[in-house]
Amino acid sequence: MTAATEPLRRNLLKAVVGGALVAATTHLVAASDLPHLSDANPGAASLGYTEDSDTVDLRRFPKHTSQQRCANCKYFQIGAGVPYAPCRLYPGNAVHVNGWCAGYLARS
Amino acid sequence: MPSTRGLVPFALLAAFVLGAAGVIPRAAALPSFAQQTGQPCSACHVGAFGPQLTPFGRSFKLGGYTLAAPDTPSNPFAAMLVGSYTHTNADQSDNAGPHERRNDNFSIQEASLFLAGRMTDHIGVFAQTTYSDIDRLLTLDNLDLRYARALQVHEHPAIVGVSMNNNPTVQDVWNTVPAWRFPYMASELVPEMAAAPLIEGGLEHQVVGLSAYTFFDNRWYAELGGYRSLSPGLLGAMNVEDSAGRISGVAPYWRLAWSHDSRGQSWSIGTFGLDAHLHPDRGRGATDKFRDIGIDASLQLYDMGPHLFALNASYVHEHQIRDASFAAGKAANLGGSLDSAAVNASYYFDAHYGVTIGRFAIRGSRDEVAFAPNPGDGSRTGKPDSSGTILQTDWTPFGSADSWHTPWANLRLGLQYTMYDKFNGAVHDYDGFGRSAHDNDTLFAFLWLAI
Repeated sequence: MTAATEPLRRNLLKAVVGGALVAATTHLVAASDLPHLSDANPGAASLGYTEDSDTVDLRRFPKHTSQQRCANCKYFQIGAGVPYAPCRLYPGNAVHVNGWCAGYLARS
Repeated sequence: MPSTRGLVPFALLAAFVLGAAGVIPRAAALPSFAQQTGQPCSACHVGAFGPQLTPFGRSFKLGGYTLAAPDTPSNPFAAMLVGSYTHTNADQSDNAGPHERRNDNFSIQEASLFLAGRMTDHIGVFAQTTYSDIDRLLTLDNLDLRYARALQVHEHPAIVGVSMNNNPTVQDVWNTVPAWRFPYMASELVPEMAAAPLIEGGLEHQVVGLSAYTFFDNRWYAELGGYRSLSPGLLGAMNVEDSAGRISGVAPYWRLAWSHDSRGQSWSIGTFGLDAHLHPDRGRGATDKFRDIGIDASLQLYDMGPHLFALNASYVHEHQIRDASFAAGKAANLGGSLDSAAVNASYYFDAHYGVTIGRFAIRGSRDEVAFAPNPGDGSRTGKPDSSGTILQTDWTPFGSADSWHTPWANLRLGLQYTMYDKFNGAVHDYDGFGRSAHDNDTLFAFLWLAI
């Protein structure tokens, strides 16, 4: 049984190493091509992300204020003149400048 | 005179830290993930305290622990202390530990130092070394070194990464798998159940594994990896007990899960497994073969004002062929199986007040040699079957964005009661020496501090 499963084990190991190489050599796409963040993202759903800061549910987030927007958040990776830009909280996604989530931290 | 052997885990961690120091971009003073991310503990953890992860906490871990708030000083150190009190329904037949009494024991169960944080844009680490006042040893505990990056594949978001770790399932992000499932803290001063599937802690800290993973389109999680045994010399140097023996070649590990997140709810279903051939005495020749296949499911409902509900369930089937143990006279039967199930439900109010109820059950093949009578932890019937219920209530006073001394002060006070329906194959006289399953019912109180 051991002899029969050894090729399988070797192939699995090769798959792991191959996956690691793919992960190490693949590059990020341009920010403008990033998919827009949505509720389907686990982190966004968890932190209550919305594209319009004015629609935040104040019962759930009573400390939210209308001045809080992605555009003035510390995690927002500024893209001047564009409606969407990357956010450090959600790697691989773009958020709206007027969006908001519970991870908001005011830029100093 | 203190043994220098006990200093090895600290030395290894220190070497790791010094090695990492050159690539840590900030040289400031704040430890832990909360300080690094700028987020309160409640952003990543149900009940504002580890290890139960929120969906955002899962994303952080999948991202390789690398998320960091810009211009925020941090360093990757953290510490943890667990003090506990254990009372069993009846005194144990022998002392509960090498330095404990037969019952009503106070202990410093764990004192841990962590190296936990971002090292580069794409590399992060969670490494723990722990001193236990029960064993009075310092050991290398869980290790999870990750590389991860976000990609876009045909307009679908994806995270791909690699984990190097020392405990199968410690790299996982759901609290259904053995390394991170309820109870998140339990007494170590109670009689041990006779058996558990290998994937449920049988290899922890004795192996090193490498696995590649992807989380695709915010839904699909796939991981494939393999584990090899560490050498006896290294295990001895790290004070890790060599209980499993040596893995023959590489033990493949796999994981597949599908999750769905939407406003206010998160749920998942998945499967995981491990296939290991072990030389129990580290020699050559015959092996004991374990093939573990598990399924799991989870649900979190959190968009209910101050209320949060979480459900976690898992089931593992283990198929065993014990050529080595049978030949050595340590098992009466060549083949066997184990089935392990666990389910728990938690309710948290305002992220600080929690109650959890859990059920667990283990059933296995009869083997009068492997499961023989012995005071406290033996089996009169030759069966390893155990089952019971765990009730826990806990209070986590800090951990929110506006908590006192956030994120420095983290404390959980918990009270846990475990009731056994069956222990090691029987309700009454399970060990052949007159002990009943209910004699092991346990009251466990703990103070869990993290800074």
